[in-house]
Amino acid sequence: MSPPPRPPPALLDELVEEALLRVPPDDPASLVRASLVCKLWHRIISGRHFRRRYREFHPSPPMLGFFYHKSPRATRFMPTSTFRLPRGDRANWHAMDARHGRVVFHVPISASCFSGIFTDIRELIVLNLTTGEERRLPMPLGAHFSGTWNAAVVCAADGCDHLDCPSGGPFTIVFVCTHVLERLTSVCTFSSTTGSWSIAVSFEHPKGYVAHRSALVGNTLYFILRLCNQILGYDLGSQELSVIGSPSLSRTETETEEVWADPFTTEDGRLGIAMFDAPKFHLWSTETGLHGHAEWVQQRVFELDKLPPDGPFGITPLFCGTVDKNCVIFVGTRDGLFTVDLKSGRVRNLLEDHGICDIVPYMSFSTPTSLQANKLLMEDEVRRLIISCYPREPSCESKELWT
Amino acid sequence: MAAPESGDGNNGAARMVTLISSDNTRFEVEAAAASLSQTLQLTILDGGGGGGDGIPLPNVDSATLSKVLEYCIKHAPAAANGGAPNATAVDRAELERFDNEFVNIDQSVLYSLIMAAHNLEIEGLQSLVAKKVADMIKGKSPMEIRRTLGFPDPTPEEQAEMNAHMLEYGWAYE
Repeated sequence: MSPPPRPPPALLDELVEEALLRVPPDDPASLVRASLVCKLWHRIISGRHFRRRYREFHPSPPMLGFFYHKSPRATRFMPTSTFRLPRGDRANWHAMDARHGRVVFHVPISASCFSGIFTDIRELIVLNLTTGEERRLPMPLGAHFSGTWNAAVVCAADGCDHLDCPSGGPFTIVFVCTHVLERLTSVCTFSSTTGSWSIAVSFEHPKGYVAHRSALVGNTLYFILRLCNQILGYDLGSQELSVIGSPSLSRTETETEEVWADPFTTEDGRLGIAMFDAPKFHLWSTETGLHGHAEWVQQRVFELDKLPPDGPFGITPLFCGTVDKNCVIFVGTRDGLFTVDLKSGRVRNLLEDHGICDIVPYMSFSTPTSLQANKLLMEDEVRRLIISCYPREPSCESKELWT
Repeated sequence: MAAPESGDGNNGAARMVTLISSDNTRFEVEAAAASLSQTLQLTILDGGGGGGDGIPLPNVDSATLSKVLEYCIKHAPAAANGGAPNATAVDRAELERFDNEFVNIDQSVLYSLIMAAHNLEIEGLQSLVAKKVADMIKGKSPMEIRRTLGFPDPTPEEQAEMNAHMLEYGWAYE
């Protein structure tokens, strides 16, 4: 059999970038492997110009996977793409938030609860999902957790539009804690550049507590304060707090029973809130009103039990979660974990496991950077990879490298 | 192939132009279809390609030109509507089906098409063949990609670089 015809080299050089741009973002492994084809391809794919074009070519970052808590102590990562974590699962680590190529975990001493409710925290750990680098943080001074808390991670690179955050760049952790007895919620931030926590700023409220999700809109992180129909905004630039009212979360007049609610960023970059009051989902978004104040407008209502019949939606979800901009909602039920794509109505069963109590979705582009030594993989793994990658025996040169 | 009438757009008849392949075959085609090529568009706007003259394309053989024109004729009506904002879902689905079948071809033909789409600057066709190459990359190891696209075996230096890179991105090979 004759070998396949060799494409005209001059043309391929020009075509190569156009072809690589069209590798779907939920298949980052193909891009990684393509970057090994030859020096030219490697240079193209790992170059800043290509990374930028790739992010502009595809409308929004895909969900590469999600972290989920199955039991009080364990977080696991379930890929929904060809992306894999640099290393395996982290026992005892609880994922709190993932954004801009990083995920923030906490490591509890007590295994009593998940996601920060009355839990004694030993430390926070920020994992860079591109490089595998871990950074352990000291806890904020005076932090005590007789309440609920939340932590969010954001890229802190100067002028970054978060389309192509520098993988080793600076980050900020925003730590929000409700002190129930003092009836206040305080916020402080950790800067990876200075390695220290800021002085906390506080907001007093007679009741309520911070919920454990956040949404980044512009330069402000928003957190829902439950039991008081309020949303706390923290401006990362001015480091000031703001509070806006939310659509009513109460199911009854006594306000002791609330519906599930989650903040998210809408496709056009506004603050949204998704509420679930079985069997209906209500999607709200903010619009600027007559006097410049944000007003809530109900965008959409849909009923889960009217979606295609392949979801078990007669059952009340145990929890839900939204995926920013991608219009996907997670629904955990006794039958497993599902996603509902609000645009297409498509229902997807991600896990049949019924013990899942929380998820942290990870949305990002993942394009390989240039060659760097990586000490995370053992030599045995490398040898296995070489064998699986090359149908024939490695050459003498490559053998010398690994023996 | 007979030389076309030099249509001026009079009497409602579509204006025709003649393209001449590298092996001297003449193709008569509507100007609107040929104008999908940025390279030909100016010549055609200047009134070229009509009558017995024809536009010579020394870099495109007749088999490839025939294939290119098949694409242009199919896509010309949608392009004339400015990207077909009014196209129905059925029209769009039909074009998508056509595109999928269109690039389901031998690699040698594909490479000729890539060359022609590039030389003639036909944006939609360039995008289509680029997507086809992206599909050919999907799920393959670096060596398989090299072989699929007809690269020679890697030099020892290239192979050492590949090995080093696999250290970094072991997850992509699981």
